[in-house]
Amino acid sequence: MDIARIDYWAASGGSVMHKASVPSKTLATAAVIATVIIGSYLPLLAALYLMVLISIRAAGLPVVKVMVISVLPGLFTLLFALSKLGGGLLIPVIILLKAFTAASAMILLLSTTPYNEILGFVGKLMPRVLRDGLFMTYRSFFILLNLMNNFITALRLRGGFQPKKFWRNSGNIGSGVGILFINAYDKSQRLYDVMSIRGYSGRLSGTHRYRAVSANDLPYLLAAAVFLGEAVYAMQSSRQGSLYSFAAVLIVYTFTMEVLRFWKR
Amino acid sequence: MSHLHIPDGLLPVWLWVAGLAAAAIAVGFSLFMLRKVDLRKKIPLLGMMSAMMLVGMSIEVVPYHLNLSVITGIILGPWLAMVASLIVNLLMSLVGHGGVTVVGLNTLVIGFEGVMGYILFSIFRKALKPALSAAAATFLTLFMSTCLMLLIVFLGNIDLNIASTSELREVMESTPAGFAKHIIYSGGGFNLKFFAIASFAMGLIGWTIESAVTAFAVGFIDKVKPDIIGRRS
Repeated sequence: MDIARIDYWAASGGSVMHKASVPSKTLATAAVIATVIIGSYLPLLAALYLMVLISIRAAGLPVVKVMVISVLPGLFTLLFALSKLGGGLLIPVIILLKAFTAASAMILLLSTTPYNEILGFVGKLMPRVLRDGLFMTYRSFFILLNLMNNFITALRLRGGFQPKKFWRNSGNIGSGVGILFINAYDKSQRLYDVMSIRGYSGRLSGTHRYRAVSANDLPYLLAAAVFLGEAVYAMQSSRQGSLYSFAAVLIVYTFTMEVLRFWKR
Repeated sequence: MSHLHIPDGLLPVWLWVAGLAAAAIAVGFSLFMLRKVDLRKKIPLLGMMSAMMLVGMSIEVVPYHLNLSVITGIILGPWLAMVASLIVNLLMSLVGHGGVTVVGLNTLVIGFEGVMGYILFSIFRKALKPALSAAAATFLTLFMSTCLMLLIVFLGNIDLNIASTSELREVMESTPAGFAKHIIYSGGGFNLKFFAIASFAMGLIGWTIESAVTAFAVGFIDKVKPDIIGRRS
């Protein structure tokens, strides 16, 4: 997982995708995932994946790094795909495409939206305890990650990781994890005390203001809607869209995003 | 290995919708059980412990990453652990680590680890030292959660259209072995046997690492701050 890097991209970017409003990006991501779920033929899914990659490029994000991040947690997908080899190669390829497209779309959403905006928006649908828990978890994560990284660096420098010394390595990591849990526990107590002094009464304030809907919202939203429409049509009529039509959509989309990218620079 | 995050688009809609409903019920029940607890005080702890799970998942130890769901369950207790597992899965789905639609199913698997880890640890520690209890509880819990994950995958490969036909009825009315063979190799060429063997083979390495790390961590906490794991110093 690369939450720290994704958070940095979200906070530092100023692309068309970054300037789009949270509701429209969330809606577009939902449309991409809905297409992944109901889309069942290769050209549609391949074109959808390309559309997401084009959007990632338009957002000024490193496409290869995002692809790697989306592929890394794919062990389950890989096993699942290998288990389907009995039905030919097509099904495993479709499975991999579905998983990587959905993961890339989610990474694109979080990499172009500051966490307080996205959690504030998502949190509207949840009980307060979950919303506050989400905020607190996200904020605490970076503090603890920093502590863990320092610990691992110190451990490496002092020869704490040695090849073929499973129990010794586990003991060192385990003690580090133990220290971190104690640290986290103490910090949570202190955090509550500090929050109480500052007037915390069981309600954390999050951002409920988002960017207004603008022209920046349209390209990604429209492209996602086109693919969803095609997936629904294909499902109902059992007719698949032609390769030419997908190529045309992708060319128009790429052109639009590139123009916006240079214009907004 | 139990910590396999199911991505979007692989499982049938009925299954992930059922998963979302089941997770909502499980988390709702957990919150109901916590109704007498002052949750204001627990929010920072909940956040920190959920963040610890995320930190554990961020650190790659060999190609496997730690889970820390059992130790989180031991510290938070079963009800808060279930809430924490939903928070962790929601955040992970936002970074493409597991699907959004399958947050419910993933929450059930990770939440199960927290709850079962807490229960087994409570049982084992009556007879064993905390570190050993934690190791045994972690290993058993991860084995069971891998079985749960396999059950989910198996359910996802049952073709509901076939289930209403006479073909399946005939198979079900035949020998148990015939029925077992039918369900293992069903669902568009899906080989559940291969999937199960691969999951258990890789899982064994993961369970061992996780159990060792959890045991050392709990042993350390028991020496330094035992009240965190429920023992008064």
